[in-house]
Amino acid sequence: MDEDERLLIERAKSNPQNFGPLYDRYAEDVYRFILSRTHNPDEAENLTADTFYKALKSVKNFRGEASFESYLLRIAINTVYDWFKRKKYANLVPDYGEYELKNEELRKLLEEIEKLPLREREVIRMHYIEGKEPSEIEFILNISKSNFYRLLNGALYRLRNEMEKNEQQGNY
Amino acid sequence: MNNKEIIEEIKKIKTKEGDIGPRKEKIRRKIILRFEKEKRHRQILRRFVFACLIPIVLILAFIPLTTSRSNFINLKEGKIVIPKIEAFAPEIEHINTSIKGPYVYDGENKLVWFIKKDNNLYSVALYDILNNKKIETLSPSVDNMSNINGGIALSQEKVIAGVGDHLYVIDRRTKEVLIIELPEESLPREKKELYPIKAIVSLNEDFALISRADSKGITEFNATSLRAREIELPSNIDSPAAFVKGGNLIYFLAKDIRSGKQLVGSLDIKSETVKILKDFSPVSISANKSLFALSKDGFYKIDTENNQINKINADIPENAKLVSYGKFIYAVNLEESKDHAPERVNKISVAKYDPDKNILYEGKIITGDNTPFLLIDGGEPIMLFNLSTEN
Repeated sequence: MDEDERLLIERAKSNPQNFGPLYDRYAEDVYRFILSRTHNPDEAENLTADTFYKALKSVKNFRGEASFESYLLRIAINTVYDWFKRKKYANLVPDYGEYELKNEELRKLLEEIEKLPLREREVIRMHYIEGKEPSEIEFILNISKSNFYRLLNGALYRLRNEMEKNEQQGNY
Repeated sequence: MNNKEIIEEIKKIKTKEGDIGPRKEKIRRKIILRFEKEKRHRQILRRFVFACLIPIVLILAFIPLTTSRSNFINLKEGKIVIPKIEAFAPEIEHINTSIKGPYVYDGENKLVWFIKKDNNLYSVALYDILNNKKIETLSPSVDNMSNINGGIALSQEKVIAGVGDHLYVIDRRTKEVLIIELPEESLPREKKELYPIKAIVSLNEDFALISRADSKGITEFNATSLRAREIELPSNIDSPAAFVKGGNLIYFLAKDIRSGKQLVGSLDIKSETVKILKDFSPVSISANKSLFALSKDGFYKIDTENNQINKINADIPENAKLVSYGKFIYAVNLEESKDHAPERVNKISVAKYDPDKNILYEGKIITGDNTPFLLIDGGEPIMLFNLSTEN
């Protein structure tokens, strides 16, 4: 956490009206993070608003055990999970408009990632697509290091199997 | 495909980096809206809680008033009872002792258990009328820290006496004394250092009712388990100054805090129901099946079940002391001679009322002795009286 961020957090803690600069700093990242999971820009707006609203109410409890961005993303992922439960996410057919997919193979791969169990999917997405460090992911998902690697290896194994099945069926 | 190849493929998936400026402002407004919505909800909730609290507070404020009011019973005036008057010849036996303060008489063994006062120190003492005619002090002497004389009552096996906040449970046979320091009053009228015992009445072999000064209640005390509980009185009634037993009820005399008038009340121990008789201010009470009371206006029989008051047409002085013995109610009055002649002449008038036959027996005794006396009727000692104003 840099000095600038620390000062912004301290100011927000002392007076919630000073939360604006923190919002400006992280709104885009949080919105994109949520959009890549909901695939729905309007819902992503609402859930981003919910995330910042919760963060603003709980900023006093932030103890600095991770970066403020990770703190926001932890709130965001839980907000998205709640939304999944309410909206029966499995029934939605996403168009992945928020992704740059250069070929059909990448689209198929993304579809396979989306089919993974929730936490395996998040580990793969955060680590390889969003480029987050394992420690950050462990904090956001509230999991241990060993659990992180177990989920990662499990997800890769599943993806490899699915991809091989697809290759055999001549899907590529 | 191996893991490395899959990872390389996954890394090729990128999210678009378009400008989200307008959305950012929309989200900001949504956050502000959420705050305003929550603020409105909080205000509505606060108003709702406030609106709910007002009637609750009002109800709670009125509960003591309504309950205390509901404790007050209006008496229906009944007929004037004209008893048949007959003469009788009571006897007295003077006891040459200086028994002062609260006492209780054990007629069977001719013993007087009393609270002895000696230089502002109080103790429980016993006077044996039959044998040595001496006063035996049973408990340590204590300063009761007030001018309240305490109380004493007799149960089947025990004597329960109280001075200050000390309670003495004495075995009538072995005279073994158990001293109990009563806990601080749990229903105090105001915060005080001490809540001295004012009156005691025994209920059965284990239980006694204790009245303590500056209390809003009566303490029910178990002399075996040594446990106590409080029975609350109406808020504007002072703790009782005297108790009498009558059937299943305990009657008491207590002052109305606001008017200072002495009132009479009844307590049903089982249901803990307290009733105060409205607009009736007696000086002395006694009870057997009914309640009998003596006020400035005369002698009354009160049917507390039907709340009916019947005046008994009897010429009984207002300062007389009422005592119940068997089926009779005795009214004993001492008229001391006012002259300072060396040979004083005191008149003791005794009236005995038989409620079943409606007969009032009247008798008079002239005596020069001023010491406490035993009233004897038909050879049977009824009660010890200490009516002298000099005590």
